[in-house]
Amino acid sequence: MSLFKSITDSQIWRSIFRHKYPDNPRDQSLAVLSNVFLHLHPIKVRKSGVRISFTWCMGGITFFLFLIETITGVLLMFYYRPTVEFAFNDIRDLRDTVPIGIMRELHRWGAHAMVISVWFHMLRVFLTGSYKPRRVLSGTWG
Amino acid sequence: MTPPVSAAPQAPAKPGASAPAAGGVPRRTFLQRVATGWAAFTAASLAMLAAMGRFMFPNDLFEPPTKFKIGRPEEYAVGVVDERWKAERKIWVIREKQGIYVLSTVCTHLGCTPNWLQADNKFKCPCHGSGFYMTGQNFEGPAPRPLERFKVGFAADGQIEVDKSRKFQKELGQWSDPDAYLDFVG
Repeated sequence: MSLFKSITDSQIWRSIFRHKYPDNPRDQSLAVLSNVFLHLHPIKVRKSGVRISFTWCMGGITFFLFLIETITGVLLMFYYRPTVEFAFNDIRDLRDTVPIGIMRELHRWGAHAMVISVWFHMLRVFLTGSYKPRRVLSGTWG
Repeated sequence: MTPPVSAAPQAPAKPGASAPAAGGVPRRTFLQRVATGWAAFTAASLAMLAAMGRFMFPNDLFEPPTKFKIGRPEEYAVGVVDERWKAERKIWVIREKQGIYVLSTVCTHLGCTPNWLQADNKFKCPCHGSGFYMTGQNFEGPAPRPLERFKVGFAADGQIEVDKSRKFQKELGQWSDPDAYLDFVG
């Protein structure tokens, strides 16, 4: 058996890529529902519902900023000591001594931007009625 | 979860650019765009990984220099373990009849700082009881190997200069290296 075949026939591969590319709506729905990433969003969305002028993409931007915050935050934690004795000097060293001294600023601006984008997201959800019944749980999670 | 059931037999794949649905895009164009997107994403991810790796090495470490002078050989008594630099530089300076050597104060067991017991003529580690002779040789307790020695030499002005970035381990036969021992007969 070729190497490629032995990989694609393995348990691990088949648990990640569970379906081929089905061409009928029922199987397509199944493929989306059984995927750990894809099943978080609805299977089908109206084309008119994904316009940026409708969604503003604020949810996506918020999620992106959250990822930025997590990564920059973890990186900053390697150098920052949250004690009275060290905090001030560690922040100065993060700017002057550590490479990519802009990491702290990225973290800070990301935080501000995230708060603003969350606010805009809530505003958009309200203005488009995306919280109404059948989508109450989505709104609650948000 | 029931396995997928195909409603109709698969249509044979059309070669070349397939006829798109109304308002669609040729298959080749679509795949080119997807490939470009993934290539850009991969490149960006690799760049970010490289940046994160660079981030882990600060441009300056606020540590004391590894090379330093410790005075003239005459300031050290023969046959005495000198502890004047133990707190500041973590070394013991021992002068014998033939010369001078410098021991590291890091216990070779798990890194604690041993104490020099003048009465028992040995170094004794308070953590787990490792014992070392004045030469640095381990003889009791859990220490697996002797204390390490550092490079000693003469600086231009005649003072002894210690370089902690070069260490010598007895079990590797390195104590016979001329840099590990400073010959001086006062």
